[in-house]
Amino acid sequence: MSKNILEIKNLSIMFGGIVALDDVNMVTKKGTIHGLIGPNGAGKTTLFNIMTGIYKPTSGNVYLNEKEITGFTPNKIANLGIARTFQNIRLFNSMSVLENVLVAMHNSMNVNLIDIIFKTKKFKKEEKSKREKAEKLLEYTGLVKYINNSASSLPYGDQRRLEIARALATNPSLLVIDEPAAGMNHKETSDLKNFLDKINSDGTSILIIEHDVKLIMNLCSFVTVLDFGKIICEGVPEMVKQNKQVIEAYLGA
Amino acid sequence: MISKILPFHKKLKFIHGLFLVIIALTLLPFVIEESFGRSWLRIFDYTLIYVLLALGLNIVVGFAGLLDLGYIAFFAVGAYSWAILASPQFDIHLSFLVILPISFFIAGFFGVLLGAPTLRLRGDYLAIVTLGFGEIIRIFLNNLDHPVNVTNGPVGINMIDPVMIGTFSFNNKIVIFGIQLTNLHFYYYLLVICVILVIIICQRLENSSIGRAWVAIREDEVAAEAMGINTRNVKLLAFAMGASFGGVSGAIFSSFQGFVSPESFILIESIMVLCMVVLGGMGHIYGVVLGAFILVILPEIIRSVAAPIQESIFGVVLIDPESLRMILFGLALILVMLYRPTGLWNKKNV
Repeated sequence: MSKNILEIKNLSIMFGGIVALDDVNMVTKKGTIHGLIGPNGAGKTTLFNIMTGIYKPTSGNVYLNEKEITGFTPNKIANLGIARTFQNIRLFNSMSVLENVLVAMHNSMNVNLIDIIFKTKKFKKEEKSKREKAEKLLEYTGLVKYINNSASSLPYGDQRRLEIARALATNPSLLVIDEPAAGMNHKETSDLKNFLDKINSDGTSILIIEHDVKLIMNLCSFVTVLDFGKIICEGVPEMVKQNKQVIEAYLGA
Repeated sequence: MISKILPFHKKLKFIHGLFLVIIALTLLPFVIEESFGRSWLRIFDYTLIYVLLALGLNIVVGFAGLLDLGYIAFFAVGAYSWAILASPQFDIHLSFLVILPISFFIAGFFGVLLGAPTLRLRGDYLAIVTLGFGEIIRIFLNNLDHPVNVTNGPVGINMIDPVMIGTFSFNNKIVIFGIQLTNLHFYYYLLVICVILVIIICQRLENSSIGRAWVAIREDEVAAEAMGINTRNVKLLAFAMGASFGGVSGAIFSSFQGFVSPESFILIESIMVLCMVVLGGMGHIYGVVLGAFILVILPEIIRSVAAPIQESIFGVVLIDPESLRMILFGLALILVMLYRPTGLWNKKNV
C-alpha cells in the first residue's frame, strides 16, 4: 500500500449552531489525484479551509505525511507542504506574474534584513537562483510569455493557471485546488485536465474540488462525495457514479 | 572583449552622473539662499524632515497597506529621545552618533508595540486604533511632568543640544571662501544624507522577498498567508521599519529646532504625512518624496504670495493667506482624488 499524504480523522466543525462538517474521515493516497464533490454548501471548501489552517476544527485531527497539523497557522501548513488555490481567484493583482510566483518562494528564504540592506553576495545569489527557478516554473506552466505583465491583465483561464503556478512555487507535496474549472469553456477545461495530469505525473499529489463531474471522473483515481457535512460515498469514479445516494443528492437522474 | 568594455563604460557613466548629482546637492542650499533667502532654506530643511517621515510611513501604508493614522507618534518618540538624551533636562549630553541609533531603535520598538496588538485589524479598524495610539503618546508626553518630571509637560524641553561632531557644533558659523555656512546648511547636508540612505534602504527592501511579502499582504492577506508568508512577523517588521525612520526624523527635528513640545505632534501632523504618501503615490518611493515637497513647499508659496497678489488686484486682502492656504490644500486633495486616484507620480504612470 502506498503511503497516505493526507489523513483526516473524525473531523467536525460548528459555526454557531450549524454543523458544517460532521465526523469526516478521509484519506488521500500519495501520488494520486483525489476528487471532492458534493452539492453547494456541503462543506467542501470548509474542509479545505481546515486543512490549510484558515479555520480551526471543533474536534478531530488532520495529518500530513503522517504528522499532525491540526490547528497550525496557514503559513506553517504551507511551509510543511500543502499549497492551495482559491475558489474565487486570489492573485496579487498589482504584482507581475513573476512576482506572484516569487512571493510564494518566501518560505525558502535564507537571507536576513542585513543581507538585503547591504545587498550581500548571499542575497544576490539567492535572488538570482529564485528568479531562475521562477522562470523555469513559468515555462513549465506555460505562462512565461506573460512574465512581466500584471497578474490582473491575464485572461481568466491563465489567471487560474497562475494561481496553480504560484501554489507550486511553495514546493508542495500536496496541492489542493478549489473549483479550478469554474467558468471555463471546453477547451480551457481540457487544457486544465492535461495540466493537472502533468503536475501529478511529476510527483505532486492533488486534492481537487470541482463541480464539473466529467472532469472529476476523467481526472481522479478516487472520489469522495460530501453532502450536508457528511461523507455519503467514496471510491473509484465508476462506483461513485452509480451510487444511489450520490445520484439523489448531487448528480441527479 | 566588448562585454568587458561595456560594463566599464556604463560604470564610468554612472560615476559621472553620480558626481553631477553630488555637486548639485552640495550647491543647492547656496542657490536657494541666494535666490529666495534664508527663510526658504529653513523651509527646505523642514521639507527634508517631512520627506524622511513620508518615506517611513510609505513602508507601512504604501508597501504593506496598513493604514496608520498615528504615525506622528514615532516622530514624537524620536524627538523626545533626542531631547531627553541631549539637553539640560537631565543634564545628559550624548553624541548624535549615539542618539540617532538609539532613537532609531526606540521608535522601532514603539512601532512593534503598536503593531503587536493590531495584527488582526484591517482598514478602518486599524486606522482607529493607530489614531488612538498617536493621541495616547501625545497625551503621555503632555502629562509626564509628574510625579517624575521626564518630558516637562506642555511646556516642552528647551535648549536641546545641536548636532556636535567632535567639538564642532552645528550652531557654529564658519566662513569658507567668503561664503558663510550656518546651521541651516549643516542640517541640510545631514538630512540629505539621511534621505539618500533611507531611499536606498527602501529600494533594497522593495526589491527583496520582504518587500514582495509586504505588497502581497497589501493585495490579499489570506492568500499571502496561504503561500507561506508569516504575516505576523512581516507586518511587525513593516511597523518597526516605518517607525524607526520616523524616529530618526524626529531626532533630527528636535536638535534642529532646539526645542520640542507635545503640540508639534498633534493628529493633523499624522494626516499631513499620510496625505504626502497618498498624494505622491502610495508605494512609490520617488512619488512619496514629491508628495512631501509639494505639501510642504506649496502652502509656503501660497502664504507668501497670496497677500501681495490680492493687494495688487483688489487693493485689499480679502481672504487671509492662512485660510486660503487650507482652502487650496483641500481643493488640491479633492482634485488629486478625482483625477489621479493612485497619486501624482505612481509606478504605473511612469
